[in-house]
Amino acid sequence: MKRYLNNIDFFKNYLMPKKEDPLGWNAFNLKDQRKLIVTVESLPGINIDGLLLENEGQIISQIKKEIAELRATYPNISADRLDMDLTIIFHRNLKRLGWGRYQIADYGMWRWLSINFFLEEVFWRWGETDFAKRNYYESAKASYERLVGERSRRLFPLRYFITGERLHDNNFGYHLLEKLASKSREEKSGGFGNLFNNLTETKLISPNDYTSKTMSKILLTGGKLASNDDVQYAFVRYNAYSRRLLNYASESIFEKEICLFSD
Amino acid sequence: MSERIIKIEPYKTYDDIIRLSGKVILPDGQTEINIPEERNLNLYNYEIENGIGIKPRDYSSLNLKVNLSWRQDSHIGMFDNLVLDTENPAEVLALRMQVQCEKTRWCGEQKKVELGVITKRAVFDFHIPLNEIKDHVKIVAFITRETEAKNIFSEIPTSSLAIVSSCKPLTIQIDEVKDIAGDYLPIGPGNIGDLAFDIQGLDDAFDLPRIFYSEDLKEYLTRDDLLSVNASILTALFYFLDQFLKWLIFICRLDINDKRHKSIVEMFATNCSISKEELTSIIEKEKLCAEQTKAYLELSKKLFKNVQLQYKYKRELRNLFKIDAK
Repeated sequence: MKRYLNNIDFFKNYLMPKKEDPLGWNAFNLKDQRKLIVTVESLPGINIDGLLLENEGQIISQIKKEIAELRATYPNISADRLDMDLTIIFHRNLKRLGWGRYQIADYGMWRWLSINFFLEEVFWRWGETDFAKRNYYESAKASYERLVGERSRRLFPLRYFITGERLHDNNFGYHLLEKLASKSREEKSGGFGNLFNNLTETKLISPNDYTSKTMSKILLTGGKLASNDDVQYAFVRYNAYSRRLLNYASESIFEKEICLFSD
Repeated sequence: MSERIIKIEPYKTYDDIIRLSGKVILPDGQTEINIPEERNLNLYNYEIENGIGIKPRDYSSLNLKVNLSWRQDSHIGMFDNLVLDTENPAEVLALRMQVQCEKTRWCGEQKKVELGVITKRAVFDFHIPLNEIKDHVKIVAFITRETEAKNIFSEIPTSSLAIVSSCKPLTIQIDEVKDIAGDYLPIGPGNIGDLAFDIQGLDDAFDLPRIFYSEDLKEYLTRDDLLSVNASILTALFYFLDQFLKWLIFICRLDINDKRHKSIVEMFATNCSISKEELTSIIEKEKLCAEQTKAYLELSKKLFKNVQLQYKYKRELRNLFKIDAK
């Protein structure tokens, strides 16, 4: 896989859409992948390393094909409700390349992958709503932030791969993720957004990501659907119990003390 | 609601009662590398007996053997004060141990050990798949209360899984240490003639200066298990840090978008007990003006003391002296 050797500050200086420069918004709003690549590759000082192998190219094509199928299957469901489905798509395919958590920290590689292949998908997921409201600067900025990774762990493909690593199980496969995906597509929105944010940002450390799985399961797959606030407070509570080793605690401890519902 | 209003009852804890020690077994099954007493092993470029430096990334996994022992003068009876009068610590408490990587948030299976079986002879095996980790792994262990008790008025922890004792972790560095990030200054070997150490780039306003040590000393200075190396670094660190502080204040044209600048400001803010904003304003004053020079002198004094406290100089030196005096 190829990677950018430039750090985030480089992209911030040269590529981030500026309010006073509407022409700069086009790189993201026109949804022209080729044009974006040319723009980035002509930035002064851009530094790219590595090779795109044949099997890597095939996997990327497969991911794009599956995302297109997902969009065609659920044309009336907003993109944010399909995050769990996207997690399965990205994780299942990238695992075929033998990727593990070691790759998570290679932000230059994720950034290259994101910028070079996923403009259309990022625009659909993050930019389209603002664009439809004619908030063109906001839509360009939202796409930039996810394509380039203003916060590295939120880079478009990486965000889904991390969540996949946390919720995929060696014994049960994608069972939990499929259940979450199905719930997420239902009418009530629930706290899936905050679950994603916490799974990518919070330092939950437990064997086989037991904590991530248990909290996700209790909060979002049971009879009651946790709200965004419920999810946020559950993670706050978890972090507040730093004097207990909760990373193998029974589900009942999580139910009684951590994952509480507001109503 | 925020975490600030969640009440966590204080309770007694006794830390560092159980000591961890161990060794790394390379996949050839023959080479064993002991984790030094300081509990940190830098496996990257570690030289094994035949003079070959190890590149951990050449392997797909590592095995680890961990031993547990009671700290000198410690015994299970010490935990009597951390359980109820009617309880037996051997029945109520247990040690839980796991290998984890904070960078990737990978965590291996947890081992639960009864306190009664903690002897030097007991060995616990861990397997570390290297594709799951980055930079370093830690072997952490805690003594936890295993059952819940109803006694809310005591200072004794009553919740199940409450940590009553934390053990000092073992750390194994797998990948090359970054030049500067947090605690690390840019340092590496160089051809510097008869000098043992040199600092180059002190006149450059943008790039960080770099510490060089003689190539001839590389085989020793890359080892973590030599007392003379520890003593040399401890002694030289004052000078290195003071030179970097002078560079930062008097030479550096601070670029807030440069991560290396940000890291070094953070490091000196911590070591000089000053906020990042205050330090930044000192750096951005007119270079070498009286006010800036006075501020440097004050910070330098604080640095001298804080470095000793942060790196536990007194304890480290006492240990070195003790060993040398034997």
